Amino acid sequence: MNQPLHLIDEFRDPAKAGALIDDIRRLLPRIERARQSPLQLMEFCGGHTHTIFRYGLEQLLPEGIELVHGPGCPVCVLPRGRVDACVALAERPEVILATFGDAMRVPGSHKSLLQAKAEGADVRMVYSPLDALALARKHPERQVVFFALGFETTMPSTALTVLAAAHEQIENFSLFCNHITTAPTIQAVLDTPGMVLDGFLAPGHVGMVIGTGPFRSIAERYRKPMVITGFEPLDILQSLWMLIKQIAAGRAEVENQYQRVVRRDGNAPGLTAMATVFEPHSTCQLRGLGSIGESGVRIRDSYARFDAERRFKVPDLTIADPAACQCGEVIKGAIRPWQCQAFGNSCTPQAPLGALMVSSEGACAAYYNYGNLPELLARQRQAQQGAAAS
Amino acid sequence: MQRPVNITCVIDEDHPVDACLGDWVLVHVGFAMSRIDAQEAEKTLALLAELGEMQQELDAMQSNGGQG
Amino acid sequence: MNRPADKPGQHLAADTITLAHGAGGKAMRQLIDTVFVAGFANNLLSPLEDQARLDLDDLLGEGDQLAMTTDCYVVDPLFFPGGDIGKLAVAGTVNDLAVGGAIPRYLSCGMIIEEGLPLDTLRRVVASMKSTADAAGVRIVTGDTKVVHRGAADKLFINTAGIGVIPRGIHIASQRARPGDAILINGHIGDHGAAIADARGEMSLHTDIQSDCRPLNALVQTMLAACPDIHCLRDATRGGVATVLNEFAQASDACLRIDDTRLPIRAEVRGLCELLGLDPLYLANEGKLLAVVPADAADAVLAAMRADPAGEHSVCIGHVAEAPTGSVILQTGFGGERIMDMLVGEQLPRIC
Repeated sequence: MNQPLHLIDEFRDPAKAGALIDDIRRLLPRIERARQSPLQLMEFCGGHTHTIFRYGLEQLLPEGIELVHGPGCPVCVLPRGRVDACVALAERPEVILATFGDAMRVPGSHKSLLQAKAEGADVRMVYSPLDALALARKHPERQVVFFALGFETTMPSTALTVLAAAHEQIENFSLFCNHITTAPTIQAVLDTPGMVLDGFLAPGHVGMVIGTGPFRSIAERYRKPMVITGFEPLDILQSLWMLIKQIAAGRAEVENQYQRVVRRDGNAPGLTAMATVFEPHSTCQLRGLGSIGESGVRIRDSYARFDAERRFKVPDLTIADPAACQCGEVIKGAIRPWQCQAFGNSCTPQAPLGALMVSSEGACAAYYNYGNLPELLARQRQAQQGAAAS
Repeated sequence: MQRPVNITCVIDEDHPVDACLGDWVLVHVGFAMSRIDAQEAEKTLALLAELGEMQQELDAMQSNGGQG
Repeated sequence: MNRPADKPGQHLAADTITLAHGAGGKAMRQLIDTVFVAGFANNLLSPLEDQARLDLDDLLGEGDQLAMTTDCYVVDPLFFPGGDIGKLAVAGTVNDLAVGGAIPRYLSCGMIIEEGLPLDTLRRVVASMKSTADAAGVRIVTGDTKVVHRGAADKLFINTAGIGVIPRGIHIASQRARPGDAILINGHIGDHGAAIADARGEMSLHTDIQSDCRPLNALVQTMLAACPDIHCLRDATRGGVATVLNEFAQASDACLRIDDTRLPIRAEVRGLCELLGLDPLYLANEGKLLAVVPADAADAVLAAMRADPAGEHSVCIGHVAEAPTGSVILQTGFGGERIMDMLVGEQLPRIC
């Protein structure tokens, strides 16, 4: 009845899912490691987490596979101090703070951008950084600050917007830069003591920008299989199947499931724009993961006039997460969301403690909204009683 | 639906602006980030279809073996 | 898209609403006479007493219960593809009466106007209310106008209250969903929410999506003629289809199972939702209702719905089950399923 969306709906065809799942079921018993305990496969990217929950893919997988939801949700790893700094920027009377909708509800120490807006700050939701630049053109008497978030997927777009602002000599536009890079973040997860991961679904849209090379060096160094994965349900099932085949064959390679979008060398114009505007930043704080070397980027000196932090003297705040919040453990895949004592109790989507409960890509919000909440809370209680008894 | 999209990232010497007409592109935050390769998409789907046929044959063999 | 020309602008005093129009004097009287009484044009309003006087015998002839409802309407922009705030204010209140099984009869109209609103804008809204009321067979019989300082309201807010009569033998209630019942909807999901998102122009999109804003009282009476024992009926406005289904599930202590593949959603709405990361199940509708009907009546009700102009694309989207109680479960077509909860707050675009 519904008109199909070309190149999207083909990859949502349930008729093609059964064969993948059957073959995964056939391959699993041949994997020695899977006979001891379920294979731990991490989807790094929040977009994948969203698809997995939206289509209920976990329930389709045979026993012997567990999906671990990784840290690849840009708003989830944003530390509270950065949200506070952004709120402070938004509250300056001359500033229009333009942001993606994703960041509106992320809690800072005192308030979110949504609350700041309710109190009178001029916060505008935009679809594209170009829309923020258009706001700057339209309001020459104001200062438009774009809240630049995201991994390499969004970096070319903000870089090209800064280049456009420079070209047009738009002086009332700047970036509050919170971009982070993928490879160091994946390595931080893999370096976590006690981490047991058997394979990765690598983020397809990051791959689209940076190409397959950076993933290859991680796979070689850590000897973990990786599959660069698209965002439709068949993409994810096919990639899981490809991971299982690698594990069964004892391989640890980078494969590209998302061939229709990801090229080996990535996107040359995008990479050039990124390198022109941004440079690596020594360290970057990520919520839950702490300080990660070389994971941040900052605006180069030659574009310093577009850097909101240099224009406005933004305070550099480091504020610890609430003690009860175990977002960090969840992000690293060390515990499941319901194993956090705050989950569903002091931390709910209505009153979130941590960012994972806010973003629709956050693992905790996904479990809370799409999972079987009474069962999860019962399991949480059992675990607590078990811990108390021992 | 229409929306202006920046195409800097999908043009190069071999694929100038004029050549983009009719392209399917992946759009992210207002930027066309990649031309979607329809042939690769077909290949992926064909592989899945083939796997489905193989599974059916396997299933048929098993059910002939008395599984029902 | 630029903001439509309904923002209070630099018009001459004679062309715009001023505080004088709300001050109770001659200007106000003139506004009432020339805009409201002339615009709504009916003999119950024209005496301009402090209250409308309605004939009880007339109402008693139609049923044994009076239904009453009220709703406030704020929308930006005032005019959008497929409707405007006036059409919304009449259709919305008519629909709130209709989904109780009531035959809507009379509406009130309260307006809060920001000074500086062009008089012509007000006339257009009133004309739209009148034509929508005529289409729905209701009369606007009493009203009130307040004018507030610039910035104290956004252009124009409307409140309408409505009364209608529920015929004997109709017992529609959201706690009546029973296991086995069929769940029906009268057409495409999310058109209004998508049209408004587009019309606001914040996302620089251009679509052909029209709001589905329309009165549904004729459709409801057609459905009741086909099956007087409709169990639940509600229009899916703010919070969308997902919210109404959750309300039914909780009130009835039942589980509503929805088949994702049967949900009717226009390609343009799906496209907009893909681009902005929105879920059409939470988008507002202004001409869509959800019905829970006994399984053996489902085909007859569906046939009746499809014969009505407001229900051509009606479909069955799922059924009521027993457990888990109080929940709505979406079967994804992939064989997986997920719980479809109510939203915490406003749905925000998910992009990065």
